[in-house]
Amino acid sequence: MKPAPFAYAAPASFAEAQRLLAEAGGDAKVLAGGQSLVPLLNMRLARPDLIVDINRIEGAATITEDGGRVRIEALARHHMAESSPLVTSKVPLLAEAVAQIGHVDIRNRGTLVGSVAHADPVAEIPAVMTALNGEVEVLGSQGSRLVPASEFFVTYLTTALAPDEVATAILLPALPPMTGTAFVEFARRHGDFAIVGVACQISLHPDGGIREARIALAGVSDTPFRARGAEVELVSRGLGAVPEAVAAVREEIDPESDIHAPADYRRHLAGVLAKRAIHVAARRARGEAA
Amino acid sequence: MDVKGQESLPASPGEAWDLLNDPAVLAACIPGCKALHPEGKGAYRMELEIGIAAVKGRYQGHVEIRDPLAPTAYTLHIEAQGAQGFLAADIPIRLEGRGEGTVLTYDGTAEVGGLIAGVGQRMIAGVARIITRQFFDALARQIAARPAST
Repeated sequence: MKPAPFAYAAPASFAEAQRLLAEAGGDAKVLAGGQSLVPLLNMRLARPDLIVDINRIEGAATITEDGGRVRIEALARHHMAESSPLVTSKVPLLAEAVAQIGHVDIRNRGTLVGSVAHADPVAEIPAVMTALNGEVEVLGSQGSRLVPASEFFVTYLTTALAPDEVATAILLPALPPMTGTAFVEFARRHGDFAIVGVACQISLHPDGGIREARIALAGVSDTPFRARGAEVELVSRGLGAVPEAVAAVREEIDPESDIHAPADYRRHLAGVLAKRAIHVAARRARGEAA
Repeated sequence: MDVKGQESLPASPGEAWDLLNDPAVLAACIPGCKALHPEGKGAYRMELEIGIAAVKGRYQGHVEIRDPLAPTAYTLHIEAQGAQGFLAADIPIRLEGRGEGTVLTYDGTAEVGGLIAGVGQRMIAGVARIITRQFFDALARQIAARPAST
């Protein structure tokens, strides 16, 4: 399979990449790791006029601590995050999620920022961004801006990125004290897209009550889905309310049916995985082995 | 794939019927409709550009209003074909007066095949829902704009 013809540019800076996007007037795509874009091009499902390849931009692959946040730049590959001590210690939810993406070859090439910009609602990183309400750093004609995840994901493969904007980094808040996280997903074969995935972060009070719960689901909506009803159940009623939280998850989602799984199965699975994620995150928050 | 739902339209069944049979209104409301050419009574040939984000394609389509029972029921028959796949749908539609307005109920099936179905399967039902929503939102705008145009 070969892509439809396209023009190609490999700018040396994000400013130049942004200018190329603005000049293309909406029919350009940014190429980072290419693990989603290139199959779409080869199958001719996407036919952009211009590909802006950002891989030649120097020094844009770092993962750094920035205040209370971890900043991951546009060319950081999944494998870099997976093996980064900073990510493992400060954003363990992300480390656990990244390890479940596709296969090693995909993780060696694919980027975290690319996954966020692609906005597949079943993908892992968008779910983590939604659970933690991370931010996307975006460069446009008017300069740089930060977009919170809650405003970034619009619908299937569609984000708040304007056609003349390029995502340059993502920022995720560092793990608060007495907090545990878990990312669980179910796929029929190892490496497949998940049918449903759950990202969960639980913060405890010293007395064992729940200070904050953050739960986001992949695969149940047109965007990653923040299960706020379940979060409220947990925070107001504590860990004894896991059955109520699970019921709230099943109540508040409205999944679609497809050849992989009917809606009812997705709804059931979402509850099962949410329960598992809440228990694991709570045990980790207490400092117990999960 | 089931295509079903219910919409409230702020117009009488007779007015709604006229709008839904007006090629100009259909061309304005069908998302991605580039051209709509009448092809005999209640039948149209159309060019569509539909999709989501970068995954969009051009389709040649045919829309037909079958078994019309003005102003209460008809079946919308849609066929569309493009390089990326095809769509075929038969959607029975009922219009019922309720108070000042009309409740439109649709309950049919659509078949999507070809490349787009193989790759985009996970998203087709959701995208169909979004496109249907866009159609009815556009129709509601047409209804709201009506008094100004008369």
